[in-house]
Amino acid sequence: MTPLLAVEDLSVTIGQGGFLSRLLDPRPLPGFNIIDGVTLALMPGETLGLVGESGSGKTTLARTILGLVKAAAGRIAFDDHEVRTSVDFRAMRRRSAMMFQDPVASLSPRLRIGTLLTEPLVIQGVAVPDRRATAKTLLAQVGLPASFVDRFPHELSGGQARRVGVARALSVKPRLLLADEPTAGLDVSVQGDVLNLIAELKRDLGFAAMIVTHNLAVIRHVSDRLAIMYLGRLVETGPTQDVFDAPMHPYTATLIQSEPVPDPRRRRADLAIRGEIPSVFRRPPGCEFHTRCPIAQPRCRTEAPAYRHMPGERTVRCHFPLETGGQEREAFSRASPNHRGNRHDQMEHRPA
Amino acid sequence: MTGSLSAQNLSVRYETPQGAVNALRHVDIEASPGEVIGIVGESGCGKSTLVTALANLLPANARVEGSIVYNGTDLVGLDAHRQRMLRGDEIALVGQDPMTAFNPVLTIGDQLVDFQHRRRDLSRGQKKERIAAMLARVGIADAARRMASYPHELSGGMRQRVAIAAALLTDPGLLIADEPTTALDVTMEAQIIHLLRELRREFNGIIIVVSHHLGVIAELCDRVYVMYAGEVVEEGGVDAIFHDARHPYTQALLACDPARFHDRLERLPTIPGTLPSLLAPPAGCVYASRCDRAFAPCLTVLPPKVTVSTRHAARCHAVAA
Repeated sequence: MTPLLAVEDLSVTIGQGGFLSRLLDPRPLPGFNIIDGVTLALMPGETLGLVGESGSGKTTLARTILGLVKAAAGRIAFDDHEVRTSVDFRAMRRRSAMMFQDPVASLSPRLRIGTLLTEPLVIQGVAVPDRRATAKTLLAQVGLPASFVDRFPHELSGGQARRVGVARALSVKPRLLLADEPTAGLDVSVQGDVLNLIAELKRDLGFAAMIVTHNLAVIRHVSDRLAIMYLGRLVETGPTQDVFDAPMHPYTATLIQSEPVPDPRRRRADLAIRGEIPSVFRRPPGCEFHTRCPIAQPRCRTEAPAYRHMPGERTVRCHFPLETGGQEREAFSRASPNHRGNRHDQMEHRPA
Repeated sequence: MTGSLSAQNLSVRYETPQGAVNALRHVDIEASPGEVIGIVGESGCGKSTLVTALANLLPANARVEGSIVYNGTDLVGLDAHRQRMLRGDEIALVGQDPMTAFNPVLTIGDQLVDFQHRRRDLSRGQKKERIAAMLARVGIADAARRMASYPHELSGGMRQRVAIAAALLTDPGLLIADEPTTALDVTMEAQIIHLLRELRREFNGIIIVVSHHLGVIAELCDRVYVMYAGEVVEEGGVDAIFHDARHPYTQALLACDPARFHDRLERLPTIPGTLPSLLAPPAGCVYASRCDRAFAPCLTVLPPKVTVSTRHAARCHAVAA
């Protein structure tokens, strides 16, 4: 089966400066890759979870895929057709939709819900004989009363605004839905509602979805495959359950371990990962995670790891991937407990 | 100085043009020195109103009834001057977004000196020494350089550490952390939880942690108050709340947390229905309209506080029956 969406070696560069700064200082500035060599594929009907911390580039990646951010290098193919020009992107956007992060902010405060829901169709040039009726059908699809067509965005609760966001994304009958943090800011009792709705509509309408999030607890239940991002690069991809059960990249393992557990009987002695996510402007040499990695070796500081294909349709970008029950995993769990000091140096003295 | 905190029958009403919003109703809170108290609930449950009332920072349109006794002093009805003295000396608040807690045009060091303005016995140099020591204690390595930085030059996690240091510089007896990790990434959240745990070992005052995140509450607290629509619906030891919850709302809230389920769920659990309007709270139980165990008295009679065991109580007719 050919993938619905294929992204190959995609990079996004910033830092060349704008028109004015180039006028004032014509020397070329170094570019910084905020997305660097990302390769991923999305099968029809599949749900991919794109996970990373703030600053990892996950939102930028989603926007680049839809052509809202310009790629510096790489290739995007949608439905087996390469997407290169703005005309291609327009055609692709007609069959794909984005749910933006802040649902209330992404709805114009001056337009009524009915107008907002059918706006994508008008922009795409789809003939809509009766906008009100279309809007009502869309509202019914996401379980909102028809009377909402006359409401303004500020009259909705956070959960309702999300539902409108879903309805609006679906108005163009997309084959691909990109949802950027669809549950951020929602209460636990409501977030399930929005995700169940997306899952239900996916079953009925058969689109593929890419869900961008930092919430591991949620993505575990709604995605088929996971892609973990760190500093603009993918560090691990694989089937969701397998990645959670046996993460291969130390970063993935740390992320899963960092998640607080809602059970006081299972409090961990230590859940701290040291250090902070570095800036893309000062990307560490070698493997970008080595500054925080509990099992980093001297090699990790100088040599960037390549993507490695592992059994079970998984990829990992690490010199020393954690394999189930292997030496590295043991070393990882030994190194993870509370060593807030110079864990790095301790690791170096470890016999190789 | 440390003392215990006790709020009895505390109610807060906001007077608005639309009518009085009953944001907090008959809330009882007890805390003794050395305890970490968790306050958990979803948006609109009144947890922020509660901590703002404890810190005496309610807006002018708020009407407070009941009592808040801290260390023998009733804070309700205290004059503005003495309230401010208490806040500076005894009660410290760490907010959700540390970016807004700091002045963007002053360096961290200058601001931390100002936080100690009540310590007239210390010179500026001594204050700076205290700051350096405190920053080291909250895990900031190069304190001297950080004191010369402006707030925007620090990352979110770092700013939250500085906010905690600022709160501790006043030697408070009561430290209130309102959603201390909500604005942070999971790895930074883990670091702040770790830091708060370490601090509590030396800190012998009361720590109150407010969060909507059940994981944060479970990792940090000794006792928990569960709030819904302006009321405390259940209170108890952290183990009792997470393993022996009695109130239907607490049970539903726990069941909704996807972090509790290891295997993939086809449908995520939710709580159907919506919060009641706080302009006219229901006569009976606040949770009745969403409760699957509701029966006749729930709609008309205020549920009693039922003691399940020592220090574990739930406000529910079904538990009483």
